[in-house]
Amino acid sequence: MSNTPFDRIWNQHVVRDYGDGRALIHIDRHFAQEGTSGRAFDGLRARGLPVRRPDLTVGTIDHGLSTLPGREIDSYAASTARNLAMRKNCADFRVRLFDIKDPNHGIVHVVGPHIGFAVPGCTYVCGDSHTASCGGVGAWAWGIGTTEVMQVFATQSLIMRRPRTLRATFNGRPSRGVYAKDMILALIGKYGIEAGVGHVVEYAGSAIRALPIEGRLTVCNMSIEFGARGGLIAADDTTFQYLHGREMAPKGAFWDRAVADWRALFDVPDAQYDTELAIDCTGLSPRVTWGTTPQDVIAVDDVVPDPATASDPARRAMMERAVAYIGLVPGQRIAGTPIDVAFIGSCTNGRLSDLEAAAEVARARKVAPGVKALVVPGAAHVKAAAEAAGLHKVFLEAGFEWREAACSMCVAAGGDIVPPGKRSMSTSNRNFEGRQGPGSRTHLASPAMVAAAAVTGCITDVRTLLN
Amino acid sequence: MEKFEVVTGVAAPMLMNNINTDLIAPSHFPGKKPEEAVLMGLKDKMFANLRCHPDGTTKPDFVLNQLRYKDATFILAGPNFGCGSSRETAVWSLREAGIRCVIAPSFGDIFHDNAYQNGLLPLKLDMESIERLAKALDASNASELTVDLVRCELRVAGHDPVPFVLDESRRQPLLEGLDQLGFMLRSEPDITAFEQSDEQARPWAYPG
Ligand code: SF4
Repeated sequence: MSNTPFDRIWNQHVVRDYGDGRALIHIDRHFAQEGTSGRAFDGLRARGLPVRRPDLTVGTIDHGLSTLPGREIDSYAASTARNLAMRKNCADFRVRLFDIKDPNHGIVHVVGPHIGFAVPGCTYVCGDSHTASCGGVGAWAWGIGTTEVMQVFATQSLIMRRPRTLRATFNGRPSRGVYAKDMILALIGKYGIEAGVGHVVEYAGSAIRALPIEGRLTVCNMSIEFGARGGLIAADDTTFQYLHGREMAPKGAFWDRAVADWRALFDVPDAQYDTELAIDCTGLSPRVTWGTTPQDVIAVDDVVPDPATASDPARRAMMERAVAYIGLVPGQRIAGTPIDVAFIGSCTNGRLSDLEAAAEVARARKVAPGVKALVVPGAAHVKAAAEAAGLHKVFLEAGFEWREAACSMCVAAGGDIVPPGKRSMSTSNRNFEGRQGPGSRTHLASPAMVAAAAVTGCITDVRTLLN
Repeated sequence: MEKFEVVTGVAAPMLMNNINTDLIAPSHFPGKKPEEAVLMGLKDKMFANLRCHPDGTTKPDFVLNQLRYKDATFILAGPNFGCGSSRETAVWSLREAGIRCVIAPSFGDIFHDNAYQNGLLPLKLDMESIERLAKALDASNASELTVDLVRCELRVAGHDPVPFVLDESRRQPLLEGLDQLGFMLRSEPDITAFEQSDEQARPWAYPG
């Protein structure tokens, strides 16, 4: 089985085949972020090595930044040293940095596709597990560790083991109030967080084809929560229209040649996959997590499951621990659970269409008393576009805080943290114990669902608020 | 990189599923302000939210807080150990705390690769064998385990050795303490040649 688009991308990038399932793979694009590249730059210095291809490398500062209006690089003291080191590292090694006032600044996976740095058929890496987001434009994109970041800096390549291929087909038509986030949560809920381990996932089917690029980025973003390092969607006219004219996308004759190559690359009607999974989106309800992994997810009109019903003892133990941590009672309806914090942002759902969906719910409503509600655009360009459309006014009038772009509460960074025991509805990707701060309780959902919870003060089926 | 040949030490049982990298190396620390946390050693960050309550007081029940296991060299865990983020601090904090090998039925992909890059052996073993091993260790006085990468077996005093299989491409670099970047740099001529021909085939992929 070696004729899927992924296999073609793999074959195109083999510098050296070691003959045992491993190969030295060439890297087309490397996006460095400050949190995971410091030691990698130090490693280059210690060995006297340059960044081999600064022309194929860019950087941003996204994790450890304050999001308060008017923030500077040193507004959040605990991260200042690391942020300043990133500035110096990029200058020393001639890497183009999207510094915090740069119009291209933002969360690494939000920026990559927006500037056309991620393109179909390319190998794309970043020292961050949600790099698979960029598979939404048809790149083979995956997250790497810091030692690997150093290796890419030094050699523009990586030793990879050939992953298996998995196709996840989403058919049917999701109804109003159901979004890309609900689709990917439904997949992870149905098959589990380990189902994708060792695979590159290709998302396919009519429901995927119907998604605009931003929705595709959301789906691919959560590949890692499915166990897969990479997830991609075949590039099509939607992709080409999105990428055309973007700053770093191919131009002129190169653009025409690129589109022809991309069409050929993804034209594989008879591709065979190692594993096939499917989700029917017809009748899908909005999803919300009840536990401490993205697999612990139910429809918003459902009840918290009873661990006693799990047949596998290990799963039962996990569920018991999750229910106790999250502070819910098995059998209780999840809708109506009061929340303390609402967070709209992150590389999963911090794009313009996400803010539009949330604003549609927030418009002419008020954040419920006692709820702290944050909107953190995923990048400077998202913030600018949202402000041009007046979305910030909608949020501010409703009582949301309107912030500067960064990772923020997704990972309890930059001073945005959920206090111990408090309950957060969040558009991010991880509801792990302690993820949003020690003792924090996280429910993952779509931006519209989070906005609905913010204005009602409790987990609410957003469809009851949409007309 | 430190070589891994035959290592003997205490093995701590943490037979939970899905011990993710946020649990192994959290970004926030109970009882510490963020600016205090940056000054903490990585080994003190390891499992901080399992070790301590949110106010920073110790959870005496947590396995690595127990006298018997506090200097553990090995961890026995459930499936999907190290799932979650790419943060290599998860591996570094385990290494700095003296952990040389985690034995689990399966691992998060990125953690698994990061571990090998740092001389931490992520050893895959079926859950039944892990549970048997944990029982044998529990019954022994010292909870002492030997991980023998030369003979590919695990030993607990008074029990039959437990054999394991490991891909040679994984085993050899650990035995030698090989630096992977050094190895990759030897392919520099191949990389250059690849880029020259690739730039002809896919000119659009090269912005310069
Ligand atoms: S938004 Fe969250 S998941 Fe995305 S890169 Fe930042 S910390 Fe990671």
